[in-house]
Formats: sequence, C-alpha cells, structure tokens
Amino acid sequence: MSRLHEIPVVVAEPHRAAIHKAPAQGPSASVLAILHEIDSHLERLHTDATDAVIDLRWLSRLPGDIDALREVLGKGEVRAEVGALGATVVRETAIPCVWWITHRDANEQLIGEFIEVTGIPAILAADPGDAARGRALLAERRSVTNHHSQTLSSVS
Amino acid sequence: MKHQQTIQEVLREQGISRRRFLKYCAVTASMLALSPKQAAVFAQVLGTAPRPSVIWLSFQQCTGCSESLLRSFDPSVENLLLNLISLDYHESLQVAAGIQAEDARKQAMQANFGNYVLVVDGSIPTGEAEWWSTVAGNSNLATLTEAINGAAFVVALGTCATFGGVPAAYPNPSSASGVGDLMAAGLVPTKALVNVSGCPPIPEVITGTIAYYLVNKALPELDALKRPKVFYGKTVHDCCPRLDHFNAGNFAQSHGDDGAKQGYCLYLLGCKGPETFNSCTTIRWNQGTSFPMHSGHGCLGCSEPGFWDKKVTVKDPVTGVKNFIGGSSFYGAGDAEFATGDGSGCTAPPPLVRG
Repeated sequence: MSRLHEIPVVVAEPHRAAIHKAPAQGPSASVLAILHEIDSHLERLHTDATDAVIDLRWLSRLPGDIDALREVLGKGEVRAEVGALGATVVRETAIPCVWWITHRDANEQLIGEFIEVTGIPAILAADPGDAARGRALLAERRSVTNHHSQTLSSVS
Repeated sequence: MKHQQTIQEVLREQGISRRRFLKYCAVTASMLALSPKQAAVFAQVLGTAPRPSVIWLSFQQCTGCSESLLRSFDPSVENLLLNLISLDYHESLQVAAGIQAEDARKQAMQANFGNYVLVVDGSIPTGEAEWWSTVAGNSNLATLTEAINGAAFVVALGTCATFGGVPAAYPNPSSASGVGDLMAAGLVPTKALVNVSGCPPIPEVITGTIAYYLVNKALPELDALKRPKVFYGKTVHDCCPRLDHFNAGNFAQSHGDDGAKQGYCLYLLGCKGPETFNSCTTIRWNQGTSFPMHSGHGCLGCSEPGFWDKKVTVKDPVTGVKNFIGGSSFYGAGDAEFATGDGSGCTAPPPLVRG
C-alpha cells in the first residue's frame, strides 16, 4: 500500500440532510433559477452564437438540487470520456446544445462540475495547432509499419 | 532577440495535451471564482502568456511548504502549474549546488529584472541573530533584500514567511520575522506582497494565486493581512461540516467521545476554526480527501498570525464561562476574544460534495 487512495480512510460527513430536511415539493428556487439561466443562454446561442458556461460549484444548492437538475435536463445521445488529469465526462443532456461536464482528478475526486451551452464543448475538440505534431507521429508510425512489412516479406 | 516561449508552446513540447490544459484552466478559474466571461478567456490568456521566471528562496523553514506543492501522489491538476512557470532557483529542487547555484540565481534575477516572481518560504532572522541563517555567505536578510529589488511581486508562502510562524514562537530566539513585517519596518524594500499563509498552505491556494497573477498581471483581491480573499475570506468554522451541530448546541466533551464520533462540534476542545481564515473545509487536503475536523481534531489555526503561541478563548455556550485552552505554548498574548473577521466578503469556494 503506497498510495493515498489505497488507505482505507472513511470520511464521515455529519449528515446535513438529516439535520435540515429538504422540502419534498418540486424543484427548489435554485434549480428554477439555473433552468431560467440555461434558457437565456440558449436564446443567445441561437441569436448571436454566444457560448456560455455555468459553474455549479458556486451556486448555492439545497440537498438534492443537482439530482433534480439532472432529472429535468435528462440524457441526450452523446456521452464522452476524456482521460486528462483524471476522467472528465462530457454528457449531452436531452436539451440540445446543453452539456453536463464533470471533471475528476486522478483519484476520482470531483474537482469541477459545469453546464455548458454550446454546439460542442471545447474539451472535446482536437487542437488544429497539433496537426503538425500529428503528421510527424503518423510518419513515425508508418515507417514502423513499413519496416515491419519488409521484415515479414524477407522472412517469407 | 530570443523568443520567449509561451506556456502553450512549452506544454506542447512536453507532450501535455490541450485538453489537460483546458481542464486545469476550467478548474482553477472555478476555484478563483472568476465569472463565466473571465473563465472563458482564462485559458486563452494563460496559454499565450510567457512563462514567468520564479525565484524561490527558503529561509528558516522545514520545507513543508515546498512539500505541500510538490508531493502529489499522482499527476494532478495542481502540479501542472510547475509546467507553467520557469522555476529558476529552488534550493531543494535544483540540480546545481554551491557557486553554480548562486550564479544561476543571479543570472535569472538579472535576465528577468523587474519581472520575476519571488516566492519566499521560511522566516527571516533579524537583529543580532541576522547571521544565524546564511546561504553562500550572505544573511537571509541580505539575500531577500537583493531579490526583492528586481521582483514583480513577492509571494510569502506559509505561516513562517507571512507571520514568523514556528521560528518566531516565544521566546523567538532569532528575532524571526515574516516578509510583511520586514517591509513595514523598512528592513527590506517594499514591493507588492501576497501572503499565502498556512502550515503548510493548501497546494491549490498556492497554484491558484500564481495562476491568477499569470492571467491578470495583478494580484487577486487581498484581505487586511494581504491574503487572497477568495481563499481566506471565510473562516474554517463557516464551512465546517460540524457547523450544524454547533448551531444545534451539540458539543463533543472529549476527543473520541460519542459526540465527537457523531460529528459534534469540537469548539469546546479548543478548535480554532471560528477565528481561522482558510479554505481547509472547502478545498480540503490530500487531493480533496479530508481535513482535521473530519478526523476528529479541531483546527490549529495555522494560517493566522501568532500561530503556535496563540491560545483560544472558549466561552461555554451554556454557562458563559470563559476558559483559555489550546495553543502549543502557554506564552504569547493571544487572549483576545474571537476575531470577527471579514466573513461578509467571503468568496471561498463551496465544497463539491453533494448534500
């Protein structure tokens, strides 16, 4: 056992929900406000192609708000996982152009959660600036493949 | 003229993908509470910024502050910052030693005069004790004075560099002082200073402060003790998961009793959370794992002036009787009531933990 996350530590959170019970009725004001904000961003995306990001870390939420928000937004057709400094899951919601992005670190701790209103989240797109490096890498791999083919043909 | 590499060029050379960089920027901008508009340009500006030269000086210290930043168990978001800066001098990390190391420091300072970031950890001995701590024949005070002259700004890292810390504890035999006090006393030149206190500081607070400067070419908003408000705007108590028990009047009476195990407030056991401004309860330690109150121990108040000597005034919420407990020494003058602080301006990030 040499790594922190292998140590069987149990983090005992005092259960806030048990002390402050969330009201059972519909979505909270916080959820309604986020939905309203998403609607405004969709309008701006439609009219002048402006992207927007909502940082869920900073929104005050009652217990259950995130689940309620997820439920309203639903799931779309796309789910992509990016392996960069830990897993990032990009999930399209059932609302077109609304994406739910969850960043985790190498120990799978949640380090960021965002809703993006855009055609395609930037983290999914490849960088055209990497095209030159891509060509170099492709040439290297082709030369290895050619060498391998030549070796096989000389053996046969 | 030599082309100064941008951060993005350096990252590309090192095989660090744009996606990793974007993730770092998104998480850091979120931690710094930047508005969505600001966050959108964060990656763009940071990517095209030239890597700043960083001179890191260590004085009377334990290397814990460097360890805090560097001891990551896995490649992490925090240590990506090391690729964003040009760390030109750090006694513990550099390969060079002796004359070569000192020459490298002087060359870096000369080449980047007026533009480098000076990071200081450890307190500085003064007065008759000035020569108790020397490097290459120079007192810490002389080295600091020389380095401050050409710095764009100074980051005092850790409670020793900010407020004197352990070396300044009673009876403070080396007349140790933090950087800010030396500036106030006119013993070193005055420069823009940001205090990143803590013993040690939280890694994300260190990297967040430097990243903010890289993007904005300015320091973040500071509190009265020159600490970034975004990280030190709220007390540890304000965001403690045991706060509900404090409000409900549930207090542990001894370490490990049934109340403590049920998450009762540790206030009566000397927890200094109510007077300590830091982000431990929101950012947490060891890559977001936990912080002392999770483990049943109260806050030590390590990010505040007077840490080590400071006692805490505990007023029994029922009887109103005051007791002085806590503190690692019975000396010092920390008998004051709880500091009320500037919690109203707090922008400490809330935890990313589902309620």
